[in-house]
Amino acid sequence: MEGLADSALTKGVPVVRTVHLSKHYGRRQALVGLDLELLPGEILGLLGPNGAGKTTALRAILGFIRPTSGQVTIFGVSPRAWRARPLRKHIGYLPADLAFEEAETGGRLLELFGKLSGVSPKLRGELCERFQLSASDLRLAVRKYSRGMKQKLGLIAALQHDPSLIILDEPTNALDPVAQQALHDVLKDFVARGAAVLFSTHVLSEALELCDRIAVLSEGHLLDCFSVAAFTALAPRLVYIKFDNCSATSGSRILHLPYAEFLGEEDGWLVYRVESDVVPAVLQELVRIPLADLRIESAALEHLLDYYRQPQGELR
Amino acid sequence: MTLLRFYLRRTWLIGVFASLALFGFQHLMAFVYRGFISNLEGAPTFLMRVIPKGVQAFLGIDRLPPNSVAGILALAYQHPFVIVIVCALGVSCTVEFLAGQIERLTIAHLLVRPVPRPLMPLYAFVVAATWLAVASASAILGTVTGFARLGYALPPAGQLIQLAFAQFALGCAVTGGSLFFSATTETRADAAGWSVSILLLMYVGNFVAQLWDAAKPWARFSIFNYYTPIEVFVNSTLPPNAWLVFVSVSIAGLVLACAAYAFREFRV
Repeated sequence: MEGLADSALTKGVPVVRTVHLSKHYGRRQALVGLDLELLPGEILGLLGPNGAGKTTALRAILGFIRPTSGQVTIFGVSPRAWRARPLRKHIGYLPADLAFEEAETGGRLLELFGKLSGVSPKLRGELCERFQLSASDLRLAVRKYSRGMKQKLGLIAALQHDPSLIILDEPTNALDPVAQQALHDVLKDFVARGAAVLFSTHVLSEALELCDRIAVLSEGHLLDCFSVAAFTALAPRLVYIKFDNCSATSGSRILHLPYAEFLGEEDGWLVYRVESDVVPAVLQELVRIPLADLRIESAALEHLLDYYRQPQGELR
Repeated sequence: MTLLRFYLRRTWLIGVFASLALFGFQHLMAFVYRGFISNLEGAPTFLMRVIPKGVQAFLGIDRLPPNSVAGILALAYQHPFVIVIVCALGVSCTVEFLAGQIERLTIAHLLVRPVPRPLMPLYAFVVAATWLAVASASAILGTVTGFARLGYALPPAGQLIQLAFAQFALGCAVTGGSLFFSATTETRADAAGWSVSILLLMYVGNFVAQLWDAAKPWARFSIFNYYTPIEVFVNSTLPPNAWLVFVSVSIAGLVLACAAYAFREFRV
């Protein structure tokens, strides 16, 4: 049975697959016809505003809730099937609403979760070090932990047994920037070893930095699922221009640049939005103009934000 | 077993508290008995005159007056204090580990690991049964030490063991019922509310049924109707149907709770 997890990871079989997955709570549609696949060695991010169905999708994938219709499999087996139980030792999960038995110490809880997972917690020491949770921290009762420390404890508990499937619900909640970067590095290491990561987040920059693919959910519907590399390549660019004597005249001259949309002035820089396919044409125009400085950035983040702003379906 | 040890460790305080409470209460009963027979000589006869027949039947003092050690023990082991402690022990263990874990969201850590879901209600039951066994043994120890201290002869050991088993069996039946409510609700308030309400209804219903002939047929639906310590001293054991009811309710509650946990949804 445990071979199922190994074979799923070695043969390129989707670690997670949902087919027309729907979940209704009474009349409310929490999830509608979700089709997703997560492959080994891949990071898939679930994005969407509050109530989009991200957590419902994760709960259905973990077998915590029954789908109203459709199917979900992890390592090729329904997560609610009896024979899926041994496969759970290969899963690491961090819930969004993280809670622990507050009277217990962090160390004792890690020990308990390690034993319950049935796999040696071989990464515990390394993870504690990377997330900067010291031995003295682990001797404290969890009730004395800050939110960030609890989040780190949850991450170590989810990852200490070297899982093949990592499911994280808003993992950077309450983490400081150093710990966030540590988490990103840790996840990249896991993926390099062949693990599959599925996580939900509201942090767009994090999704763009970390994910191989992003699935955007809204009101229970999957709006889009795309490769981050392709998305970033096709995303508009933000062009920042600076003159020696920045003036309205010079600004208005730039406004006539073909294909460029003037967005405004920002700390002495004139900012334009340019579609990715016309960037060369805009650059040719710019070389004729005497500039003090020029900076071009990807507007992928702003483009991704449009998914949040626009009504469902318009970005399809 | 890791989880079972964890559960046991988490409940040691309530287990020890309940055991000490029952030990102390039953130990004091020897002093109550001494006061009863030495300072209030006519009390038993007086009580028999003023207490209505129905209440006498409910307490069992019509068959075994309280001016004997067996009589006072029969009363002591069905005293509301004992009933409350036994019920509270069963209800608190099940509510803590089932509905409590759902309410606190800590159950997610168990659900995601290869822990069979039916094991959670089963372990909650085992933990409650363990502490009930300790508490019942403590109660008997309290009785023995109390009466021995004052030099009174005790009923045969077999009857005392039966008494402990009867108390333990009642606790298990309460635990079984509470287990079902804890496994099907999402908050401690709901689980405890349902369990306590049903127990209260059964206790009051059983009391009313003893006083009011029209309600007598309903008495059989109360588990307290089967908990009759007086029978242990009169017939050396509880009636067979009492054991059957206690075992059936315990097993039914446990099986239903395990089934509920195996199939229910967890929004955690």
